[in-house]
Amino acid sequence: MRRRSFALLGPLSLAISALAPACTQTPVVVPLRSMERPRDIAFVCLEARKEGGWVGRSLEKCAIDNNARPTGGGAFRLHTVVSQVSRGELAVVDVGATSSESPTLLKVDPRIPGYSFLPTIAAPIAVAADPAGTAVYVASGREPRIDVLPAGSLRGPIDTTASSSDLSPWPHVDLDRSADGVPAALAVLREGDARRLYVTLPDAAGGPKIAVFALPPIAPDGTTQPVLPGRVGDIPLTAGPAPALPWKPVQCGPKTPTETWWAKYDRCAGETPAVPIGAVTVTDTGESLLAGTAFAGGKLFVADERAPFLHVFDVQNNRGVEIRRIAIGSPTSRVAVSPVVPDEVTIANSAAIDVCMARGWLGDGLDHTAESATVAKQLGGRCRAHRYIYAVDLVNTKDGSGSIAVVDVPVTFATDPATRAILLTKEGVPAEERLDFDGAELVQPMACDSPTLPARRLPVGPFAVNAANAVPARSVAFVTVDPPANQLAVPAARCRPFAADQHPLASPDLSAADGVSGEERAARIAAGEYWRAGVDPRRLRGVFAWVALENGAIVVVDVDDYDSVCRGPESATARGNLFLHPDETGVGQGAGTLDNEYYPRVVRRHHPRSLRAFTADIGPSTTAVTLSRFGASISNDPDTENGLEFPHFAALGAEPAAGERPPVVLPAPDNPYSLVSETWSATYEGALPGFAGAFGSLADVGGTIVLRDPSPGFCRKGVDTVGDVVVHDVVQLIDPICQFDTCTPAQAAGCLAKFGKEDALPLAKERSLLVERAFDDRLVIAPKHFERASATADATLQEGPPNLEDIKRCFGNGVVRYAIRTTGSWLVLGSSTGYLHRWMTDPASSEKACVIDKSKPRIINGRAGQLPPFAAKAPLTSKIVTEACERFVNTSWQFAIRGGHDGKGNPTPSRQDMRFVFGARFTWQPLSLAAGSLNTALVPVAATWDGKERLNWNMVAAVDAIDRGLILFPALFPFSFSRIVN
Amino acid sequence: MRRLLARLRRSLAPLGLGLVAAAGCYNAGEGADPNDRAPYFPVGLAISPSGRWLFVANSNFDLRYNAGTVQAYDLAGIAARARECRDLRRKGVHSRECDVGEAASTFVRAGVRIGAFAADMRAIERRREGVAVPDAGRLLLPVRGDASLTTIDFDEAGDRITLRCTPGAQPNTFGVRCSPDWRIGTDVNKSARALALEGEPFGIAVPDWWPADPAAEPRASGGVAALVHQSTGNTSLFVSVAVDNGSGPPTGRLAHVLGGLPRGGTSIAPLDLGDGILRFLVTNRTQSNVLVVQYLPDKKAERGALVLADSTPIVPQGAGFDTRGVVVDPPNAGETRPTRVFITNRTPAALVVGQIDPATKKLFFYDNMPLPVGPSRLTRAIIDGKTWILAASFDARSVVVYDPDLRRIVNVIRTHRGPYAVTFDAARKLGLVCNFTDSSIQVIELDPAQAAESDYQRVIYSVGVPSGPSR
Repeated sequence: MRRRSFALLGPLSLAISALAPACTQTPVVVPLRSMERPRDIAFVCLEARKEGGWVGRSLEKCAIDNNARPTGGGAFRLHTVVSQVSRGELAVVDVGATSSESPTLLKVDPRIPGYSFLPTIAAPIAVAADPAGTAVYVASGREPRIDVLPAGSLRGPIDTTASSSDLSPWPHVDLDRSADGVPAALAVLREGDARRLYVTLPDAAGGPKIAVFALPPIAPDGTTQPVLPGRVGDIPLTAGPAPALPWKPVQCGPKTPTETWWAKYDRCAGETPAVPIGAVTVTDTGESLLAGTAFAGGKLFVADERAPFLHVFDVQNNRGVEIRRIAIGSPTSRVAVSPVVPDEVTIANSAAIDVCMARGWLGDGLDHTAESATVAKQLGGRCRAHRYIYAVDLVNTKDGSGSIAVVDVPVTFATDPATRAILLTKEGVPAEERLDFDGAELVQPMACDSPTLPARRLPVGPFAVNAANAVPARSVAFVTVDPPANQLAVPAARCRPFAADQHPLASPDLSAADGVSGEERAARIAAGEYWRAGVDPRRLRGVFAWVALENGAIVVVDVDDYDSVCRGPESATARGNLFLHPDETGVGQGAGTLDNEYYPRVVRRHHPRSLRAFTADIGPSTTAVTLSRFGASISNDPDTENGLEFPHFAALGAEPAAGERPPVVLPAPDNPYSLVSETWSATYEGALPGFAGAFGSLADVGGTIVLRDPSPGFCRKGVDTVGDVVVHDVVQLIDPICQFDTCTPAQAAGCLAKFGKEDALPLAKERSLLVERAFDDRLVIAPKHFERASATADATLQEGPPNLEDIKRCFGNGVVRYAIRTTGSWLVLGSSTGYLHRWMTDPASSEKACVIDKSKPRIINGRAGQLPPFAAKAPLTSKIVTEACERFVNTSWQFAIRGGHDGKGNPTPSRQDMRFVFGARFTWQPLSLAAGSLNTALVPVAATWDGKERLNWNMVAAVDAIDRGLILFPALFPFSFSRIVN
Repeated sequence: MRRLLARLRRSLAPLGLGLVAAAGCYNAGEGADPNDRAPYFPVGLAISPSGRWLFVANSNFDLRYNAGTVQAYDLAGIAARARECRDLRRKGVHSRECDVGEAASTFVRAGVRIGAFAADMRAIERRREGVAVPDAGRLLLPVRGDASLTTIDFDEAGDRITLRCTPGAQPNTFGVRCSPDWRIGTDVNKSARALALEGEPFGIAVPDWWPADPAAEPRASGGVAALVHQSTGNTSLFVSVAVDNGSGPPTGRLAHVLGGLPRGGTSIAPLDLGDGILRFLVTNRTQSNVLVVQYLPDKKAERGALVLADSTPIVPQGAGFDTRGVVVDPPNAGETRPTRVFITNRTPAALVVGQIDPATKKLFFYDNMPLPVGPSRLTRAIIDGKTWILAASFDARSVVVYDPDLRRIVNVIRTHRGPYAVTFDAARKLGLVCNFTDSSIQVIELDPAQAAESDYQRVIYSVGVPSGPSR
């Protein structure tokens, strides 16, 4: 009934809007959709019965082959169920028999017009399905129970006209509200035919716990019965405190791997560069709120929205105990665990990793130095394996809420002592996996890229690389796509960036040492050649993390791109060498070996993936630098600037060609993650941002003049008091004089003579009060003042405090508007980056004094000095500024400002509000998919148990709560198409 | 023809409360008198400090009548009747009054007439030399129709209530039209800065704390209110709004207007960071941010001013905008968590969650939860020391119950059409929602100790029979 009346009201509103009186606005038109705030999703395989109706089947029955043909035979169709929070229902979607079909939203009640969904309990926040196809389980945010919907009933027909006050009609498992609370997340683990449902109970009396239910056995003939799962036990939180999690050492370049590119600029100021070494240590306050879950390697990983660590439970073979806590440093909302992957693959080690895969050595934990010279040389003899845990920060004010912590967990597999081979199951997957939590490390994905990016987090959310990513992450899903090359089914075959005869596997001399069969070698070499063609950032072959942001966008993070080594320059380049591994050139071996992008390593593990290839047309560039003052342009003609009386940008390098201008602005790092398209300005004695409309009050406090602002934040806004007081920032009074009737006409004349008008260009220096000390909530004014000897002379700094009575009389009794300006330096501002500085409130000071945050590098810098002028008539390139310490360098760009002179070798002073402006052009674009407006779930269309993925659909499902409903993307080429069901 | 026009008037209601009444659309004094004993396009709910009375502001949104109204309802009587109906339903006894709605006249005790297009309402204590006058208070209403902050004093005496917005008001009376003297902001001569309230006043915020120190704000200024304007986005400051003047008109003054803010101001809420500075959070329809506006007091209260202190992007939504409601949730007794902030956005429809960083005292947002279509206002309910958030979704005729501690929506409550303002009766643990389109007020059971599974967090009673456009 509700739906019918709503459907009628819609057209009525639309019709009425045309008749509305002219003084009213256009009404809100609400598009009619079927799904209403979808939340969670699960997959079910159903088979159409010959006698009519449907029956649930084990998910592998709905698998497809590499040509997208159903492998199960019969009428098996994959379905999804999507919980609808607003209406307390479950939508059922017939996805199809193969990935090439279009999904269909089902109507479960044929008696009423329009779509109809399965009624369930109120506020269904979580849903899980039995991979064996017996039932779907739905947890409510309100009721302490779990509905059990038999799979065979999912397609209806049922009576959906129950009123909203009726309880759900399904069999259900009751929980005890006082003992268990209300369930949160659901997850089903399958081992063989045994399946268990894990229900997190974050609000249980006595502390959060996980309830374990055994799902009913499958009848021999495959038919299913609606049998309720039985609760077999609870898993409390019993692990000890989370041990410190060390940061994974960084490798920022071939020669100085542990140093960042900005370290040398710290040394310019005599500061010691910080080396990113440390560990995460956390305190367990006893507070806990279990959240998202993930299964991997026989373990259940659970995020915690109150505690700064993850929980790890051993659940394999019906065990149930919390074995570990992993320190993350902040509460997390979701967690995902990657498949097993090798070391990060580069040109330098790709051949060895091929050997590891071919020989089945990946993760065996053994030393193969004697068996393979290739592995010995390129990998130190060991074929290491990893799983990566991605945990989404819930609240993290330092690194940005919704950023992602990445934990590297080494993985080994049990081996046969006699043969040294990894023990496999009958399905060919490792029989026993060991996760080395003691050897786990917190990855520092962006520690080498830019100090403005959080070093130990994947930057989505507010500190993201650019605006597209500046939204918190909501969900993470690891997706593996490994299509066969042509007819060859060689797992994890990487594209080959060099000629076949240079591959160790191709060399007959090496074949015996590497011990790989001829067929295997030929297959791998052919696959490598096959995949080299068509290398494209939008082709996702390998292992990737799909990250759904809260605003619905999906970005992709590189984990193990099988095509990564085929991307880069074809021949030697000086660019991007900072990111190479030692002994790696990162370049191809001539035309056709790589795709000729200008960075040697455009694909890096745990970095957001770029949408575009780094071809020359998208390289960073800048516009010409212009100089102006008060809006009037000042000539910057290269023919005359050599002897100019005005300051100018100095040459940083030689002229690229005769007659062309030498470069005067260069990227600070050759790093795509550090550069953003924006406009930069450098203003001499410029006004700090953040003080527009600021009010303050001046008062005499014990003989010292103090400026207080009710909206504090002087430290946070970067008021500078380094060095001699004469170069400290100044408070500049910007109000009109005598505006509050505080002076007589005679006094007004005196005020005007002293302080000038508020719109003078520039403002009279007498309006400037030198800051002696800065605190977060006040500024202490120095006992000096500006005064001019005569009406035409420049004001100079004199001893003695400013006359506070004059100020109060002339500027309205001490409540003043003001600006803060630099003294003797150029204020550098980016229209997007803003004003960079290192000031903070001293945490050890009860007075809230401002101090420099020495943990930040020196390039967090928004003030440029000025080089002395050189001889008249000398060309710019006669004195190229090559010394790094002489340049102004911030996180994006570098330049040097040289002063002007009068043509006779005498420097001419730079003037307040002289301004250089240049445009910077480069925006790194993430590979990003539009998937609605508010994501609530992201899962691969996959079913994994006993170490093997069973469906082979190679698609990813996203749920958008606002308007798109369910969206299905192909995992290999996500931009090729998407299917939307709403 | 008359029926067509009547249907046209009624059918304007589903268009939502975003409509603007431009100058020239509203003429006072002409047309029929309003029904003083029933809600009519209600937009505001407030509960008296004593908890005895429920005030309802009716907007007369379709200009059917010549005035809007403010009514005083016997809240204790409503609560008793609501639970009586709840108990009868549990026994299987049904009646139209209990199940559909009961005539509002059963509970209305007094009513006055104000301008049309009231937008919001707050109930505060009246204070004499800083001390609350017992059994008394004041209603503050931004009224778009006459661009004023309309004030109505109320005095309680048992089951009698006097709504005073004219001289010589009597208890339990109806139909008196409020005097212009009870409207603040309309007379430039009464403003130290010679200001008159600009058009489209929409949301209002009044700090709900009163310091013991007479020199501390908002006490030092005699009570402060801030009001946001729907068209310009400007924020207006009123001082001395709580000062008792006996039976005379209020002495509150329009002190300052802060301009230069994003257009389309929607809601405003006071923010206390414990540092003695009075701040307000201001939302708007046009940008993806929430502003922090700070009160700059002066020794002369009417020379106080507002300054823009900060702007916080609504990060979880990227470019989401059209914020409609804001509520601040400081920690309850015994809690050690930071102060939380909740806003409702329409594009996309979501509840956005933020908090104040205890270290920097800055607001940041980190999460958002989808809501049914058309979120409007929201409120905070403290039940047994725990916070719940109730958010109305106008277009989807729902009120969502959100548990901020567990970060989940725990229920979606179906209401009559057009739920707009929501409030919470703390003494009786009942939620109250006024339904704009159906002109009714509904009662939601929120007491877990009293409720059964079938009526917990559900509507148990309706004041006023739904009487919106054709059903």
